[in-house]
Amino acid sequence: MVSVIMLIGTFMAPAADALELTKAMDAALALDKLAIDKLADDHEFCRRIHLDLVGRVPTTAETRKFLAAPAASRRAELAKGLLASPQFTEVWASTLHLILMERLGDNAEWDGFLKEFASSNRSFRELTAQMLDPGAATAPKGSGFFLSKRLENYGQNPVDYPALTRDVGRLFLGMDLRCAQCHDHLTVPSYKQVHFQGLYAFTRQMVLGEAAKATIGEKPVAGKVSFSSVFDMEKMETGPSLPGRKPLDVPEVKAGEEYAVKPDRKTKSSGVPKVAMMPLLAKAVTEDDRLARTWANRLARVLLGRGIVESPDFDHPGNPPALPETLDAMASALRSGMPLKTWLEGFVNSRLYQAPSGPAAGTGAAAFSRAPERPLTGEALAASVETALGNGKRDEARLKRFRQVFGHPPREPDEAGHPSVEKALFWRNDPAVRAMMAPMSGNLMERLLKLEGPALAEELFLSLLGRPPSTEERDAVLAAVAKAPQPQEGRRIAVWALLASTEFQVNH
Amino acid sequence: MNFLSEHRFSRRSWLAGMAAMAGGLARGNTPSDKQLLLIWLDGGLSQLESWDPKPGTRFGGPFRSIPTSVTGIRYSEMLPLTARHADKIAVVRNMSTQDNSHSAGVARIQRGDPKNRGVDYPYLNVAAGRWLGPKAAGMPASMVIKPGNGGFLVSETGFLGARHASLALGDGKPPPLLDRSADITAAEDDARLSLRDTLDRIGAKARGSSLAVANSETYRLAETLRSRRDLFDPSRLDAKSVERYGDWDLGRHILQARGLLEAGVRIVKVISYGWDSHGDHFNGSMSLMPKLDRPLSALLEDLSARGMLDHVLVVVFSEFGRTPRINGHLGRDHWPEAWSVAMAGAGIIPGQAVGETTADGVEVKGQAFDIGHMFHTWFAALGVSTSAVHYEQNGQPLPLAHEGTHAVRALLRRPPEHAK
Repeated sequence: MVSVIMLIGTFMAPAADALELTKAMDAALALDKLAIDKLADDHEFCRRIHLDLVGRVPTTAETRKFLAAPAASRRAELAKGLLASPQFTEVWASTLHLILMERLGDNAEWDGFLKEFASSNRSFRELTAQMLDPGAATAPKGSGFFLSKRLENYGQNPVDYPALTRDVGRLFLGMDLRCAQCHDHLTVPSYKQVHFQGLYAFTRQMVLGEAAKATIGEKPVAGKVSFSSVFDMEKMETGPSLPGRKPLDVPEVKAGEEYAVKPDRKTKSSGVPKVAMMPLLAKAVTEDDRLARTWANRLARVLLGRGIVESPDFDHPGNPPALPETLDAMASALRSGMPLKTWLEGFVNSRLYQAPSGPAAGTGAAAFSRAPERPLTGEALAASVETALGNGKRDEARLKRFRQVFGHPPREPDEAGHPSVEKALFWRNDPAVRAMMAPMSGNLMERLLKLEGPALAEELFLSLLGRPPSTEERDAVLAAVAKAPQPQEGRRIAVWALLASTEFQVNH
Repeated sequence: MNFLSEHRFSRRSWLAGMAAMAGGLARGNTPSDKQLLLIWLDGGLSQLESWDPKPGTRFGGPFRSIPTSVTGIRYSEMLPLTARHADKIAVVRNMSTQDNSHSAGVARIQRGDPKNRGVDYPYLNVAAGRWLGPKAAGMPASMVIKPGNGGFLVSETGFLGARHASLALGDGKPPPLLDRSADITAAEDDARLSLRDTLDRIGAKARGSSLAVANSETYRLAETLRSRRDLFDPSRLDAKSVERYGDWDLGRHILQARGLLEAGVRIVKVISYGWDSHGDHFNGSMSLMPKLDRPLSALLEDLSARGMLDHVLVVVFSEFGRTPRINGHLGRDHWPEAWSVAMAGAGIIPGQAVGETTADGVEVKGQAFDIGHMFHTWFAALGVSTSAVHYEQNGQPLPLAHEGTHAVRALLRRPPEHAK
């Protein structure tokens, strides 16, 4: 018992660096009663981490270099190298964008803000503060897009403040309080109406400045929020507060004296109120323990294909994390100010990330003993095709086409990434795919034309799937190549079959 | 008890599906002639502006109620054409469900809100497709017509897995690139498709990939679509019919759904978005409701005239109703506490309104029905017994519908015991 307590004490201390986070996560797995009996093999790992950190499959040269490196350190070294690459910044800015904006829209300055964060040593606390208080002197350009996009009108609909309030609860505290807008949540006893209304007391003051510049203004505080449950109509009120926390004391301001700087129609300035809510919200959220836990869960969900708390929007006692100690270890690191790159380095070196691929062997903690198939985004697929075929520079038109077929349009309510006839027909009949198959100097097709037999199959599989073929796969491919009337046609058949295979289009 | 093993049935329905895809349906079809058409109004249809009007009450809004073809039953004046077919419809006015958020409600209602067993249940269209299987040679068991993107809706399949996913036609259109490009020979196309299929089969075995199985299905279905292009092409819809059903998304999609049912698709779900009217609800209703009224009335007229209402179950539903209370933006918010669904055909006793709400529409008066009651009822109408048939998931028998609820006998011409 003593040793367990000592062990808990060890990993509950915030991890200061990547190695400590890895150790803390590995130790936590035992307490979470999850035994990962073996790890992903080197080929699986090499492909997985390339797709996760730089958004594309590895080249054959990268895979061979990795396999030739010293076994004891090659995984950690590969992670370091990928995290230092410029592709990492671009891919993770895009990942954070999808987490935070959920395809609501794009903004170049916001993109720049996220790229700067992904490459920096700044903490998630700082990132969150800048998004929730974009008017602060230290907030970079573009940081206001999280709020400004949500403060836009859609058609004739009024600004959807309840949705903004819900998003702040979901994305930073792991609590979807939408049901609690009108009454205490009916099925989640810990989600109260006062929780929603307390958050709403922060957001209701916000107004859109200029949409293109992603600027936000504030109206003066209008006292406490009054509300009543639709069931008993009993009148209640609250000041601004995070769920479960004491409402903030907001000083009262006399009528007519609300503004430090009055609104000015000529300059389209919404003025500056004496009491501003955005700094208070940013302070409250970034001082709350739930922020780090929610970020950790969402980042883990990207890398594992499922949240430790699933759904990440419903973190409450009735929906406990499948791996509570592991989640604590991940969250503690973020809470201590660990930046994205360091956290990812710790994460990808953990046994949890390196679980072998396969279907879940059970539910709860057991589901995490295998890595599921995660369909690639359109961007990752386009980059992987370019890398695997070796056709040279990035082709923007092709990227656009991949986004169109495999992307997920704004406000589309379906899950992305599922197989579809449209995708099958794209692979089968789209001229863009056909054009990629031509032999060019140094590309895969040209290399394959110089190879025969097992060497051909080896090069083909390593280029596209990052692994050698099984005997059955090799025989099937070589039989198809041999049967074709022309060598080029045979190789085209083989390359196409692997590109259109499920394995090429998933990370696992 | 006629306990049907999920494993046994799975294999059988899989083989039936494969046989159907290969055009050999006679070897694997299920004997049932039942079909299902779901009309899903995403966002939440207002019961007050449709099936359960409360004119003249504090929350009733500006619209009147009108008489229907059934004496004593009144609908909102927003459904004047459908009201003429009330003798074919059963309305349930005492729905009371659990979720008032879209994110939870959309899935829970379509999964039948079963007891929490730690697994995700399939949506109704997937579940019905699972038990009834394909109906006609070469046609998918379950299809969806929706605005926006099409594809296979894996997220609806729950524990049944990706291979049970419905094929969705985005905007009702056949997928582009349906025909083979001119610069590739049929022989090369066949060879590469065959190799792709072989590699996915090996991968599915090695990695336990359910996605690989679904992916292979998409290639087979592409062939079906190519051969039945006429059915999936809205540009080939008859102009007079389009006029009758309405030349807008929901009108064209319901008309197209009728064609798919006639061609032998077992289950069709038509999804319409934009029913979440939190603001300017009453002006919005004047624009939205006719978009449902016209195609629904045309559909009921056609199904009845063609004798299809004997075996096609039609259900019109949403994730919840809308608040009686009118908010500050003249809108109605989410209201799962007291709302309505409507259904017709396949042995549902028509011309009735089951259940009632209080005078102001805020609560159910007397007995309330949850979505589980409807699932028992709909499965019974489709000839699938929820007491005799179970899923089996990792050795755990799972009921088709919430075991705390039951079929509503008042809705069923044949008692649920007669289902198999």
